[in-house]
This record gives sequence, structure tokens and C-alpha cells, in this order.
Amino acid sequence: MVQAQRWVGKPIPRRDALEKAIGQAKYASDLFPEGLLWGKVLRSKYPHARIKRIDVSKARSHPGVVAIFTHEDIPNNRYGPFNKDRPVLCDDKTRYIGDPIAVVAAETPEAAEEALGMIEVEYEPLPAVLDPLEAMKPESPKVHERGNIARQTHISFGNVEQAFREADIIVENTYTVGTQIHAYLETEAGISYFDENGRLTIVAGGQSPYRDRHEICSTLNIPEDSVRVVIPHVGGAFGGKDDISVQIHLALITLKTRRPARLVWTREESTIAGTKRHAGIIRMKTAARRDGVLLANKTEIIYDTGAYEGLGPAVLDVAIENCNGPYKIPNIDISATLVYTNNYVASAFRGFGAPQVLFAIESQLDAIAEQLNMDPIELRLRNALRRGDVGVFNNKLIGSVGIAKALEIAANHELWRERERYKSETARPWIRRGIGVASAVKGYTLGALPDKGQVGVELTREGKFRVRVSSTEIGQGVLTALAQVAADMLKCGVDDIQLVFADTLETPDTSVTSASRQLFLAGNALADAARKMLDKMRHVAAGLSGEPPEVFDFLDGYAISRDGKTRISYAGIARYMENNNIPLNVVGEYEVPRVEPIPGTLEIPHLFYMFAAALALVEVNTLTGFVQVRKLVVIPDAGKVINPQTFQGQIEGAAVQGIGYALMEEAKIENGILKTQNFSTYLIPSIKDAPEIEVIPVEDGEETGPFGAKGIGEIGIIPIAPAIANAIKDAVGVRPLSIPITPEKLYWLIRSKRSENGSQ
Amino acid sequence: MYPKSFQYFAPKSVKDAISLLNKLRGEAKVIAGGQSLVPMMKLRLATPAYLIDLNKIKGLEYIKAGRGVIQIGALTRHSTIEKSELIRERVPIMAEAASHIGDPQVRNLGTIGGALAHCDPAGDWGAVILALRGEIRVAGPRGQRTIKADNFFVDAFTPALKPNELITEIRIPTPPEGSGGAYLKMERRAGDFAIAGVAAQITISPDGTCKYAGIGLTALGPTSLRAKKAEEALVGRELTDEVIDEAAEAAAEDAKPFDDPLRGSAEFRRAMARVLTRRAVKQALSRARGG
Repeated sequence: MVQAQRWVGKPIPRRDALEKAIGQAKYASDLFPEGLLWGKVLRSKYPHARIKRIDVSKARSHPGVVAIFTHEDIPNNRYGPFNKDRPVLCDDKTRYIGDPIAVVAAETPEAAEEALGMIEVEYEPLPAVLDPLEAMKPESPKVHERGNIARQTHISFGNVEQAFREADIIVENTYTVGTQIHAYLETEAGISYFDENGRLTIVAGGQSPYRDRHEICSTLNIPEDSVRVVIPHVGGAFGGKDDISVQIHLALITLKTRRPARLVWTREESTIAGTKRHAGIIRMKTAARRDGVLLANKTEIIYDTGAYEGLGPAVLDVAIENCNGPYKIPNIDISATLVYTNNYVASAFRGFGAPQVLFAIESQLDAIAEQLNMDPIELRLRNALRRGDVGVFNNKLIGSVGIAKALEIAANHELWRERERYKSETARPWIRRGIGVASAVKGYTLGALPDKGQVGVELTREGKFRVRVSSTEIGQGVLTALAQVAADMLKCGVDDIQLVFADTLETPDTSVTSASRQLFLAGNALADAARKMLDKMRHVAAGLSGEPPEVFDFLDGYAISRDGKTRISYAGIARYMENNNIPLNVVGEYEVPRVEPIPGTLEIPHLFYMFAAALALVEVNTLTGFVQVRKLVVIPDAGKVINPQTFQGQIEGAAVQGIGYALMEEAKIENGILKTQNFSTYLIPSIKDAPEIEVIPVEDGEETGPFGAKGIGEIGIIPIAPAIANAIKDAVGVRPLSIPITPEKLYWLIRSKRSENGSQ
Repeated sequence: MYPKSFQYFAPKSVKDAISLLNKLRGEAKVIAGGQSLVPMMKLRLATPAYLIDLNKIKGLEYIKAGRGVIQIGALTRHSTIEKSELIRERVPIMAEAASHIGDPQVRNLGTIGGALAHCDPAGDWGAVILALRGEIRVAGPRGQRTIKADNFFVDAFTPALKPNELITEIRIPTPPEGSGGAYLKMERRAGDFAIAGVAAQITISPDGTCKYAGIGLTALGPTSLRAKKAEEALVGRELTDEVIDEAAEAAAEDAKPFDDPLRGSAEFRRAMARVLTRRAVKQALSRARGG
């Protein structure tokens, strides 16, 4: 059946736009349940220390303090999505500055704060391991009993060494990438209470109500059906709320005191105890033939996951999967290591391990193009993957592959075609302009891991639909997009779709909102639900009219017979179903197709990949090392754009976050102490740093996606840093191998090149 | 974090404020715009037991032209200076410097007196007042006194103020005909503290030589600094590119920068002192010539 698209593809305003703009939308941090206790967390002062004694007696008797909890109150004191290596409250050791030791619940925030200072913790400081390379040495102090190698793997296809011998050129570089902080507007926040049915309820920012509930229940040893987790509007997540933050501590307070509680991290707590993007070292040796055909790529990846793994093992997989870029390379060899240190915990962050390695491979490609004196886009096109190709892991690419088309659009873009003119238009002799290109690739869905989601659809007695998803609205606009998809699937107006979201009591499990796939997953489950719902309605229409079910089709809220003579409104169908006790609700399900993981990996390869190309125009001040991005062109392979407005917003936001990653954002950690704890020290781009951003979607359609849509949540950030780095190289002739490319780094790089050339 | 609890006073006159300061001795902090103090209190870097708020005192917020001098009340907001017609006409470098301070919210509340009393080596006013040879009027229990800018910045966060003294006014000698100034600030991002900043104020004689040169440095030492060698390199000479390069080199020598994990190494900042001085003097010169 050809699906008419009336709402899909329309730039309708987000349904939460107005309520958010006028301050009516409630975030978890806006909630103050009556009679609440204020929660506060005592955090470790040392990056690595044995805990010899915790004495809470003085703090407990402080006026206003109701309860203080330590590890003794946690039945199963370890959690984590892959390895349960993280304590709810530290027992034997603390492993980073900020590791939680005690939770205070008090009548006022002041009393809670004061009590923190009265808890006596006797530490035995241990030598801290702060450098991942040091941490990898066997003699290094151990962060965890099992050693500092959290995960290590080696994957090889073909024979790189032989290819290196036969290659015309080889480019070898070591890249370093810094730690990026999510820096969402809303910090980690939540409240907890017992509802009128005695159910322990946690309302907190997150990305998966069901997984958060699982972590709460497994650590506190309580049955899952006794707990409800609700995730209201979230003031930004970017992967940073994929891990537990306040949820278990809140549940603990309410469970033990039987009173409501509120726990909102300060900005400093958020930057310290929140997860981060993995810092890393990437060594890459890439070989090509004179004609530009890539022959081999050997990569060594070392990611610093900090004190605990979080989603680190999967992040490492994504790094492995994408370190060869969107290219056909017959010989590849990857060694990858995830290292524990006493630094801050790294886990999920938009791009999930890919931005780091794409910075490396896309810089490599540029260096090869330069050596071969070849147009960098032409080189990329020569090696670009196309649909049906076999990827580097011997994996057949069955999904849509839009990278070649994106690169062709880049090549034909005015900024590229007329780049010599753009470069010549600088006002001052010491300002140099450059234009760079980069590709990006990342899988969406959970790859080779089981990945399944459910969506509920209910016909209301008014003839409208209530769609139930546990997807979380983390700012990306998924609810609006799903409403558009639902309206076209259920043949009604978009305003006839009501969405209930992210609530373990009210919505089925649509799995975690991550991996750029919530629209894909929920949209496909919704398609299943819509089919079931319309089928039911078709039979009711048949019953009501006496005509056979197959003559009915649906349009604009009516079941209409083929001859057009019978029209039954959805409301009429709903009333009939209700009166005859026919259930008004269905549940749709979608299981993401997957293949077996490659030996040595957890979740790769994916079957579905996102792609993008980007162009950057930069101005470099050769006297100061300052870089200004003047223009970005981002060309994502979107499959099909469901809502151009939210699509543009997603890509622009990712691009600006990418500028921050490339040029300014770096969590400075010295001796285990985070020096950038707030926005006066940790700089994120402001509107003054945001250039003109042109977004051009490739819309070739992905048949498996709802209406042809693919994921787009993460791909926008991935090509930005390498495009900027390549533009800098184009401008001043030096290649930045380390991001962020701060003015000082670039200043010295430019100076060192000048002294090499013999001039000043 | 929340600030530690404190007791709050809002005196209505300078006299009352001083007698409170006198009585509470080192326990009290004066709050004007609060744009530096409040963040420090939230970080618990400052934990005053008493706050004395000057905002209820009338007559400390003004900009006026006296004889050969521009007088600015201590409570005058950065944004008022930024927008003042008088300032833009007579000492435009001050309007330019004001526009670089923090963000609009900071400028709307922060005051020039408060910023100087805070004495942050990365604060923007110090370099400008030094370059203009300004004076700081101060009131204490025994009346008023005047401190030359050169003697005001003792050390980081340490002005030449006694614990019971208040800044009441900033006085700037009105630059004569043929003057021009420029304040350049290099920031990691708009609104941040300076990596380095340079204030240059010059006056050109009718014969084309430099009659007056004032060079102030921001974030290039333990306090705001005056780059005296750089000034000497300019005064009495025709400001050719070579002379300006010489002054820029001298300013880099005058600078006493330190390593900062966030805002750059000492050597980078010294290099920036050179770049900024060159550019600031050139801009000041072009403005002095009516450009």
C-alpha cells in the first residue's frame, strides 16, 4: 500500500516548543514535592584512596538532618550497563575525585550542605593513575582488582604489513583527543516519592526509564513492579544521561525515610560526577596507491574510561567500527584498549567513540590527498563505500549508503568549487583562510546487540489516538517526529495524536533513547501497532456496515469503503468497540535486524549506518593562533527528513557542539582534579562562535526505516572537528594532530613550522 | 554551591558604610555590583560574615567633566561607562574597555569601583586606568585621600586600600587634542577573562612625535601592569612601524606572565603581549590622527 505522507516531511513546530519557550514545561529540576527532603552527596576528596572509616554520627545529629546513608545501606553495591564495577556509594575505595561516599537527607538544603562537612571519612590515599599509558603498564597501581585494562581487543582483516610493503605512500601519525563534557542546560536532577498506591516513584532526567528502574531495583534489591520511573522533559542529555546519576540515591532516601526527596546536582557536581567523552590516543598508519586507492590502515586506539567503565566497552566498539572511515580498505588492523584510570568517568557522548577516530582517519585522508596532489573529495569518492559493498569487516552493506552522494554535493558546492576565491578574500595579511572537508560514518541501532522496542497505540472514545512510548524527550524532538509518523500511519491529523512518554507505568519498553535510533525503532514499532490498530478498526467498520473488511480504507479520521458510500468516523468505531468490550489498544513491536558480532567485539558490525560530509571555512590568525569558523556546510545522509525544522536544529546543534570539540572544549584534569568545573572555566561555544551553518540532507530513503528515515542524532558532530582541522591545514600549512586546537597549540605549531623554514 | 550565610547591611551614606567597616574590621566585605564577589562566595573562596551593600548610597554613580579631569563615581556601572557620551567623546578607550568586560548582565551590574577594589590581575579596568594615569579617590574614617594608579595595584587581589576604606571616585586626566587610545583583549571566548589585554593611550605633538604614551597590561602579571619600557620606547619619537615594533618588544619584556592551565603558558602570553601592544599602539595612533 502506498502510504500517503501528509505530515511526514512537514516543518511543523515542535509540540513542546511553546510550553518550553514560556517556561511552562516541567523538567525534573522544576519539581518540589510537598514535604520533601533535600538530598546531598558527599564526594571523595582523593582520586584514589582506601576508605578506612566513615563516621556519620556527628552529621546525623545535626539539626535538620533526617538520615545519612553509606554503602552499608546498599544491598547490591555494584552496577553498570556492561560490567558491574561501579558502587552506588563507595565501600572499599574511592576511584576518582567525586566518587560518592554518603547521601544526606535533610529538611533544608543548608542543613544537608552543612552535614556534608560533618561526615568524617578517614582515607588512606593511594597512588593515583592518571595517564592511560602509565595505567597500561603492569607495575602501575590498580584502579580495580582485575587491573587497569578494562577491555582490549585486536581485529585484523587482510594483511596490512604486506600492503605497507607494496604501497606507494604511507602516512603515519599519532592523534590525541581531549575530554569533552556534555554541558547540558539542565544538570542531573530528580525527585522521588511514594504514590497513592504505595509505589516508589522516581522522576528524573535520563535516557531510559526501564533501564534506570532495573539499576535501582537490582542495587536496592526491590521488585521491579514496586518502582515506577518517569522521565519528564530533559534539559539536554547528549548521552550524558545514559548512565545512572541521581536515581538510585533518590530511591534510597525515599525507600528508607518514606518521604519525598529532591536531588539536583550543582553545575560543579555535574561536571565532576557526570560522565564525559573519552579522551584518547589514536595511532594510525595508512597506505595508498599512487592513484589514490587506499590499501591498508593500521590503527591503535587507547581510550581513557576513567574510574569506571560505564558504556566504555561499547564506545570502544564504535571506535573500532568507524576508525577506517566510510571507505573500502582491503587490509585493516586494529588494536583497541579501554583503560581504567583515576580520572573522571567517560561513557556515552553524541558520536559514542566515533568523533575521535574520525578526526584521525579524516586527517589521514587529507594528508594522503596532499601527498598525492589529489583533490581531497576526489580521493574520498574514489574509496567511498556504496550500497552493496563489502565493508572492512567483510560485512555486506545492505542498508542505504549515502556518503558518495554527500561528497558529490560537497564537491559541487560553491564553497568548494570557488574555494580559491573564498580563500583570497581576507581583510588582513596575517589572517589566513582555509577550506577543509571531512566525511563521517557511524552505525545507528545497537548493532549486533539485541535491540527491540514496543509502542502502544490506543483509540480514544473521541476517535483520536494515544501513542505510548518510553522514548525520552531529551531535546531532540522525537515526540513531534513520532506524532507526524503516527498521523500518517493512522491516517489522521497530527493533532489527533497524543503522546504519553517515558514512564514505566504508562508506556511499554521502547528501549533506551540512544544510538540515533529512537525514531527508527519507535517508528517501526509504531508501524506494527498502526497495522494492528487499523486492522481492528477495519473489522469493526465491517461489522457496523455489513460490508467485508477488505473494502475499507482510512483517510482523515474515517474508515471509507472503496465505493465511497460508507464513511464511519474513528469516533464511531471507538464507541462501538467500547460498547462491545473490544479492547481499544494494541502494542506494536520491532526488533532491529542484526548479524552476529565479529569475534573480539561486542556489538559490531551494524546493519545500518549514518553518513555525512562537511565543509568548513576557517580564518586563522597567524599571530595569535586563533581560529574562527566562518562557515560550515553539513550534508547528512538522512534517508528521509521527517521534520525539516527539528532536523535542521539537530544538525546545527551538533555542528556547534563539534566546533566546541574541535577548538575550545577540554576538561582540564590536573592530578585528578578537574580544573574546569563550570562555564567560566569550561568553555562551550556561544552564539558568537556559531557561524553560518548550511544543512543539505541527502534523502535517498532507507526502506527499513519509517517512511525511509534513518538516524541523524549523532552524525552531525562527527565530521566537524576533522573538517576544521583540515581547513586549518589548508590555511596555514600545519596539521593539528591534537584537539581541541586551542590558540596556544596552533600558535606554537605555526611557529615551529616557521623556524623549520628558516624564517622567523 | 550556596554561599555561607552572612549578615547583610545596606547603609545609606559613605560615612555609615565606613563606620560599619570600621566596626566589623576584617569580617566584612563590601558589595557593589557583586559580579566577582558573589561567584567567589558561591565557591566559598570568600566567606564574609557581613556584607555591606553600597547600592543604597546615593551620589556614587555619576560621570562628569571637571577641570582637566573626568570624574567617575565608584558605583558607576560598566554599561553606563560603555554608553556614556562624555566618555565616548573624551576618553573613548574607557568605553571600548567597558565593552569587553564579561557579558551584558555583568556590565549592567558590575561597577568600576568594585572591579578596581577587587584588584583581579585579569580585570580590564586596571590596565586602562594605568595607561591614562588615573587616580583613585578613597574615603576612610579620617577623611579622603587620593591614590595614584601607579601605587594602587599592590598584588593579586590586593589593592592599596585599608580594610576600613572605600573607593568613592576614579579621576582620569582629560586627554588633550591629538590623543587616541585602544584597548585590545584576547579572550578564549567572548565574555571570558583575558588571556592577555593591552591598553594603549597616546598623544601626538603637532610636530608628529609622540608626546605621551601610556601602556597598561591585563593578565600579564600578578597585577595590572604599566609597561614603562614600552612607553619610553615611544615618547619623543615619531611612531614608525619600527618604533612600534620596538615598543611591542619592550612590552613583552615588561610583562610578567605566569602559566595558567586554562588561559595559556607564560611564554604564549608574553608573545601575545607583543602582538597586542603592536596592534593597540597602531590603533591608538590612527585614532590620535583622527582616524
